[in-house]
Amino acid sequence: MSDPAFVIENLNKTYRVYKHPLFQLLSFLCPKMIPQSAYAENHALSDVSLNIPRGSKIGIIGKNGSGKSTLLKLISGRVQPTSGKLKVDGRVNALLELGTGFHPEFTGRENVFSALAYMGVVGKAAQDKFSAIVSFSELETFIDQPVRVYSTGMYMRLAFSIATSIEPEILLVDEALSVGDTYFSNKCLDKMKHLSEDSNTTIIYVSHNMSSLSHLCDRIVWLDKGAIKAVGNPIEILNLYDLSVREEEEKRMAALVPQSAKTQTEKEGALSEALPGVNRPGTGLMRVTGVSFEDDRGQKKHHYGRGEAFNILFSYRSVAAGRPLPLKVICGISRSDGLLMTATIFEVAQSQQEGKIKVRFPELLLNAGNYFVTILLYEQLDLEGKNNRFYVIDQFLYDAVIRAFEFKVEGSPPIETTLFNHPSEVVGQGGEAVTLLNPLRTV
Amino acid sequence: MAVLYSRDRTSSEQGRILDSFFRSTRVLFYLVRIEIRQKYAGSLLGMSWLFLYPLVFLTFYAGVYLVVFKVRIPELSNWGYVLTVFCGLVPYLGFSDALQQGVQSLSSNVNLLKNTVFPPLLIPVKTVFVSQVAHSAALTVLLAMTLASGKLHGALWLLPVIFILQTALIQGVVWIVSFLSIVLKDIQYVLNLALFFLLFISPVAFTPGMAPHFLQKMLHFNPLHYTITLYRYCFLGANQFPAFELTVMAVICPVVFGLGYFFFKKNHKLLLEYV
Repeated sequence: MSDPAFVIENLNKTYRVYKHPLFQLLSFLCPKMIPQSAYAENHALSDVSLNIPRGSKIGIIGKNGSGKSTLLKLISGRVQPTSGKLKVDGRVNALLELGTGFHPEFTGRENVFSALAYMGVVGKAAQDKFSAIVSFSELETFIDQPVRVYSTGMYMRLAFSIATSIEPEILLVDEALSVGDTYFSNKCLDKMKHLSEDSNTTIIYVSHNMSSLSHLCDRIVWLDKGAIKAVGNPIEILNLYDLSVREEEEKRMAALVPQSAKTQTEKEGALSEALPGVNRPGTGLMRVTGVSFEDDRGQKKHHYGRGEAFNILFSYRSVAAGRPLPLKVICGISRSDGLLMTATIFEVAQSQQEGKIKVRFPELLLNAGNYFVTILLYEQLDLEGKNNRFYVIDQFLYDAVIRAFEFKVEGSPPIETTLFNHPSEVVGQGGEAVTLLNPLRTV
Repeated sequence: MAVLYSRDRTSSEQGRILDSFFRSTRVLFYLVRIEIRQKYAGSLLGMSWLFLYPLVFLTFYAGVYLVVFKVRIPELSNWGYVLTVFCGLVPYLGFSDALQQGVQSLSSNVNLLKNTVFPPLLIPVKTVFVSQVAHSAALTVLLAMTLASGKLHGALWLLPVIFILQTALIQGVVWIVSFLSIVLKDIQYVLNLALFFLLFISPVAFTPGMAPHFLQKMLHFNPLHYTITLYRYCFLGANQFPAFELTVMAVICPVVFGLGYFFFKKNHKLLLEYV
């Protein structure tokens, strides 16, 4: 950790957008003569400080225009910072744009050598890499066809395989994996993981894809309007980011559908009594006050075996004394990458001011892995409407505890890629004896 | 593993620069080869266009001069005149093509600029080299024509010297104009017009001796005048050894090359600000 791949201190980058091409020329010839009115300043990055240890995998997330690409360009050394300190130690290879040096009329084979040459690899070194590139891209049957007949996915597969075939000290990846199927993008992520583990490559990965970010990165930087909004462990930051995106989405949708004046004032009156929820969305008329997990013997724990009983207990509190508030609950379990595994949706008829509810899973069908529990309290749920996504932040949401509680399932079946084991029976129709090799209960 | 500008912490600074230079050169030649193949990839005749194009072009030109216009110059034979024109035309076309391609080398290769591994300095070099390969094919065709017509009386040892000097001149100019055309796009159009104008004030269809007096004076400011005179001597002999022209080229070309190099080195980090 004492050996940083790069150090960034108070980095600023301001782009000038000139109002006339003549000013642009003048800015180059004698910058001092440019009047302030000749350009608009675009603060792409302001006061960014980061210290990135060698071999770490950093994810950068943020909305469009938040300065992600500018940060990559600065790190890659192609753009000079306006002010601040930037020290990069290592050979940078950027995947800012895949397919540099590709020509549509060339065959895949010729393009491999051409693209390698642009990365400075020629001759025997290129020959040595060729077969590894082809086998990683899985394009053996197409390698002698011109790339113009390739599909976009195939093209990207070849380009990515080439770009990661050299072992750079610092690898910058900008949304490169968004093309291609899930299978291949997972393969790419694994490849980058291996690069980081085997060659101690430092990886900076810019993406909107939360699942791949959480899969790959060990630290996430959240950029907002050119400044760092938060840095921390992936799950924490990604949840915050996800939340802010959804909040904004809801705000936008709420603006489109004007509320009647009456409900508006009613809400505002009620909101004054809202329960505090630290950084949590919702009206706060009801809050989740505690969540715990236990097995059927009442043992509180976070590790469960497959097929074991699993209970989620949560307590809630409402502002209304004496009058029960309508309460509908979504209790979901999602995987660490955000994929929703299951959701239990129910209504509580006579909610109390303070209460406790148990959601019981008699047999955990989930396979080994880390899972997160999300609990959403609603006043109303639109189950039939268009808005029936897993969670919406609307005026009916009391409280949302999103992916905040983690538990672990252990005891993997032989095939670890399955998500869960659906109960199944196998019967030999000719009277053969059949034994299930991955039964749910491994007792 | 061969990677441009790779950082090897153990080697000395000097060794590293040399190492990187040789690797860059090797990579550059490879890339030039690739780009030429790319240019003709997918065409029926492929790389033979490299020679076919100047051959057909010059034959057509000669046909127009000798058969259609029936141009006669008293002191030169028919073929002699055609070859004299070609010795002007081929260098002019080479010069003009290299500059036209070169001025766009950065703006049409923005993806290479953004790719961190390839040094920006080499992008215009690659384009100039590609153009110079086509130029040398045209020169080969011209040499073959001169040989076939039995007019070769020159000093062929001058050929590589002129070629290298002109390449250096073009490279220096291209480094500057390709950068400037990123800052101000109009440079491209101005350059194209200037090259068109240059065709008329260069001794292409005439020898300096035939030109009116005022034009003869202007020729001294025209870099093509020196190149063309040198090429004519190199292929066709005739006049006395052009020592003055050679000296001027030997001074001007390295100076322009150096100016372009330092201009680009100093400013290349500003490039992406304007893209």
